[in-house]
Amino acid sequence: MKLLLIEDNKELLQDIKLFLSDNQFIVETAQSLEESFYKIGIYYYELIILDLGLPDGNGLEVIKKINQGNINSGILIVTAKDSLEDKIEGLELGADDYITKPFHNGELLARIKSIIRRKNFDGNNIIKVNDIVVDLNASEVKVNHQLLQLTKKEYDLLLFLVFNKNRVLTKESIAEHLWGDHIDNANNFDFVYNHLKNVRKKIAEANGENSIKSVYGMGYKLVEL
Amino acid sequence: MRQKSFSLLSKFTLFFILFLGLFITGSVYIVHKTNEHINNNINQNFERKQVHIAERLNQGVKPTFFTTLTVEKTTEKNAKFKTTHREYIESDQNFIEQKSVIEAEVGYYFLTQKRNITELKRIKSAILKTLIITLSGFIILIILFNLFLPKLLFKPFNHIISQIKNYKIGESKSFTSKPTSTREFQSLQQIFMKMTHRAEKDFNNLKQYTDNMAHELQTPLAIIRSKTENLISDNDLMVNHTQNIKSIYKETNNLSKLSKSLKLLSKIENKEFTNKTNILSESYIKNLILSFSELTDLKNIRFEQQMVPDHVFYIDEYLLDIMLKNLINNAILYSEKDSIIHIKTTKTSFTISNPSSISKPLDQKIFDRFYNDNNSVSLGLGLSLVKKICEINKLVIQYSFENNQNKFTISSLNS
Repeated sequence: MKLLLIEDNKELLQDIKLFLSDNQFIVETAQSLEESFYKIGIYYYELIILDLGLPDGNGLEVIKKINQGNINSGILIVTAKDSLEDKIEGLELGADDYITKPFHNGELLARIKSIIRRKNFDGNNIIKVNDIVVDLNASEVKVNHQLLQLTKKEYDLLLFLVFNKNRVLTKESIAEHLWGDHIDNANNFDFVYNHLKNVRKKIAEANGENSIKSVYGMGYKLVEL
Repeated sequence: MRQKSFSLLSKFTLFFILFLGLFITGSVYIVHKTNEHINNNINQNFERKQVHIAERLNQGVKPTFFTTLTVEKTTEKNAKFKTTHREYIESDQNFIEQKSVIEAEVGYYFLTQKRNITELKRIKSAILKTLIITLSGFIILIILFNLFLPKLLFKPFNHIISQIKNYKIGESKSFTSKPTSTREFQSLQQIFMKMTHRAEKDFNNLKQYTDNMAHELQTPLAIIRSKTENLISDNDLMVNHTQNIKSIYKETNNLSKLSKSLKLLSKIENKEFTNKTNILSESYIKNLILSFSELTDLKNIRFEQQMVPDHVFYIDEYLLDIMLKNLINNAILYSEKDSIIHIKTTKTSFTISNPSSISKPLDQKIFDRFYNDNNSVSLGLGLSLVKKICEINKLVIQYSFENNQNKFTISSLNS
């Protein structure tokens, strides 16, 4: 999976590149509009991660360029926290999803995988981990062929863990993934534990394996057994 | 002891009155001296005549020989007669008559002299008249001066004073200078302009610096957090490192939240949220409460709403969102399990109250940045943010402690 990461801040660029490489992605980078146009012209990328604040112009121009070239890459735009206009315009121009800075790595990973899956597996979009089978199209989860009755938040939580399998996800990143801004000022993450408890319970009721592990003091992870 | 203060004009007037007093004194002196001089002239005149008359009498002239004056022989008995003067008018002319006793070699004589003093009198009254006219003129001038001139002369000065009074740093209202020919006012204006320019420049630099700081902090923080998350995710992480990593992660998150809030505060100060609209609070708040259901379910907290349909907030929606979320979050955070949070609106106010867990009122300092009573876990910026948002939208937030409830009320500035 080849990704193009467009970000002008060098430190951030390296950091994200390293993280994605560690997670089995091939990452190329661009730090300006000019460099982006050049690379997009020559190479094909599965997904383009685009920071809108570029030094030589608005990142949205990249989306326009991609549209012009009829290129089939997925686009994930990275916006500043409160620029609603950028988000809206980007999505209207054809971006697949957005993520706001600063973000948790787990969040980035989940969104990337989600876009790639949606793009590539139109007909058959299923993820299997252990005995958990997620049907992305139907937004359903089956354990041992038994359909789980999950609430939206519980489904989102499970999917987040699945996309980040074998990675420890902190309570903060889970909370932010599920509730976004509301959680900003709350310091009590017990409700994350609450939802997790419910998911585990429902998996257990379907005789599933206990693959969601607590890492003491840090968070949770879904372990591929 | 408080220093007494007088207006500049009244000081000027005081001096003028002083000078006027001197002038009046001088005038009185002139008049007096003139009169004295004239009287001396008259007396000396009479006395010279007396000497001549005595000489004539000694030469043997008979008393009846004299005309225009009367001479009568008298005895030594009247030698000590005191000279008298009498003024009278005859045929429109002023006369002065002197009765005296002279001693000649040939005996004592009673003398009655008179003199036409019409001209002298005219001179006296002319002097008096001139002085009175001049004095009155001066008094009228002073009154006029007091009434009209100050407005003219002091106009630029008063203009400067009112500009100084209304000056607020950072408001970028440019100082309008009034052209004036008074050197002191000119330099006052120049100095004030220079001073405010410098202050504005410094203020803007500081603001820029703070803005930049808030922005620049974000990237390094994001990277630290990212690296820490990587460590957390590392399956080979040594168990004895987890405490440290946990701490680093927690504090980095706190810093991150802090810098986000500071960035928001500086954006608010930069007046970047000017898209104000009228927002009906009833439905807005109802929606907002729904989104908090997860949090409230956990603590079994209920909302009790008493809202009127015509309460509106005139504010940028982005800021309203932050403000209300902040207050509701706080209410939930600081309420015990099974509590009820009250939300009430009237036509002019919005109130949220939650039961206090410490049974005594919170310090008013809770609205200060970074205020933190030692029991709380939060960063202390939330309420100061709310207060700032209120300020720039001409709203007022008040805290009160009633019936063991922490009550926050937002009302408009003028109500």
